[in-house]
Amino acid sequence: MKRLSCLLVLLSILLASCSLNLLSQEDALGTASDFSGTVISDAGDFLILLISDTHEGRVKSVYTDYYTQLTNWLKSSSPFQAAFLLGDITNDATSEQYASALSKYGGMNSSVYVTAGNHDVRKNGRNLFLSTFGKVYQKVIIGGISFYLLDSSFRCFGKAQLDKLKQALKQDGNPKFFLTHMPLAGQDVNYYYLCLSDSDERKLLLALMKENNVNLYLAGHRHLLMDTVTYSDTCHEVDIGPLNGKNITIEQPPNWYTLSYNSTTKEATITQYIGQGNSVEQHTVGTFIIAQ
Amino acid sequence: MRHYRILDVIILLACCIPLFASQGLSLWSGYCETSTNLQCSSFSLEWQDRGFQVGYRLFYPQNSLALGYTGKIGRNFIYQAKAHTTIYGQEGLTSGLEATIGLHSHKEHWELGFLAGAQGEMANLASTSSPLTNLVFAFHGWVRAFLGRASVALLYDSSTLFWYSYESLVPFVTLEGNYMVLDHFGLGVQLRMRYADLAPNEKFHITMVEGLVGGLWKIK
Repeated sequence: MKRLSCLLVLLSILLASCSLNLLSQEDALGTASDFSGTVISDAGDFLILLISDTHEGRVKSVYTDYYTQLTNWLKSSSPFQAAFLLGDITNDATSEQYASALSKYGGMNSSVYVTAGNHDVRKNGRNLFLSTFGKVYQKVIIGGISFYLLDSSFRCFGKAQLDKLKQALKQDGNPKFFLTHMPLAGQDVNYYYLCLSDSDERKLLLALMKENNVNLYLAGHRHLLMDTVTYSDTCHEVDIGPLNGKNITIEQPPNWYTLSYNSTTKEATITQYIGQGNSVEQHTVGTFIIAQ
Repeated sequence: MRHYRILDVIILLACCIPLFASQGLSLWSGYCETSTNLQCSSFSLEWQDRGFQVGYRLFYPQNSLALGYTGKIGRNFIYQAKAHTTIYGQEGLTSGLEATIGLHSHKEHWELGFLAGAQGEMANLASTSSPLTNLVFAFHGWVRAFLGRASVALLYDSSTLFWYSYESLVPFVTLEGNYMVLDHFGLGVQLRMRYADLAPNEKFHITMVEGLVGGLWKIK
């Protein structure tokens, strides 16, 4: 009995002191990604385009004219400094869908940044994403604000990416925005099954956002619009509706968004555009004071 | 981190002292990695008697306390109620409740069971100005085989494990083996993993791995 108890305690101590790093492995797409940062502009006003859930290749219950509505609107819109695509670019992650998505959205602007959604990593999707768009998570600096494009395509962020993110945030004194596919907020039961479901990762993200001056968390995925979530006076989450959602009652007509930043007032305004036949409706989602 | 591990081991040893004089206790300790918590040692202590279960788990910086009760309705129906609180140092605390009902069958060499119900959780975090709440589906299923003094079990928990709850579709899968070395003392091994939410055609992504060894002191 005593020997067995001693063995048990010894085993416990041995197990408690080892570090295996079992969850730190990344695939080729993760290894190719980092937060070293691309600088578009260090200061000044800017306008960016936000699109999510293009679901290239979806054939059932689609709005047939969503892409025409977007491209027609782009012809008359103010020039934007960058475009961000927040995942589910393809519907089934086939090479044809990736090629089609690249031809449609890759040429919208010289600075198009894309992250993957859960639909984009089906089958061989991770490798196709790597060869089509390159990095799946990265940092882009526009107007002195750091945009962190995060990979939540596995419906979680994963240890390797989170470790790199923590390091990058420590060295970054800019105001920050997080952009990704999976929403964080799940307070409302109706939306609960469509958000990041790992409680640990949510707690960590919220803590990182508070500690590192992350003002906005922008995410797609839901296809349902919920109100802006306020985590604190200077930290909000905004749902980005789908460009190519289903043409069914519970979903929305085609959505795309702009984020404009006024460097004088330090305010960011998110505007939603909704394609309605030949017209485009415009709504202000919110104006957010960006803590410096 | 090193200091915390030393502290962990000291607590573990301190908790062993009453164990040797107690009955109906189990002590588990081992290695655990999650996607957010760097390689941590975990430690848990459980007491069970007449359907009641009380437990404490240290998974730095988390300290969890949990209570549970499993009751029988007739021959094959069972129900379970659980409550837990987890304190995350200065980051806040999470409290949760779970109620489930299901079927249970115990034959000579086999035990089968499942429970289904709901769990509610509220997180009061320093990083948010108001609590985060949720109410989700909970499911537990298990199969256990008995071979003399040994038993092997495979357990599936959709969202809640005794000490802490996770949100739906972040399931735990546990493989457990126990061997009663003496009539009232046994050794156990648990291998556990948790994986991210999953839909058809999507890739499997592990977010937690855990390996535990335990001592089991049976109630006389």
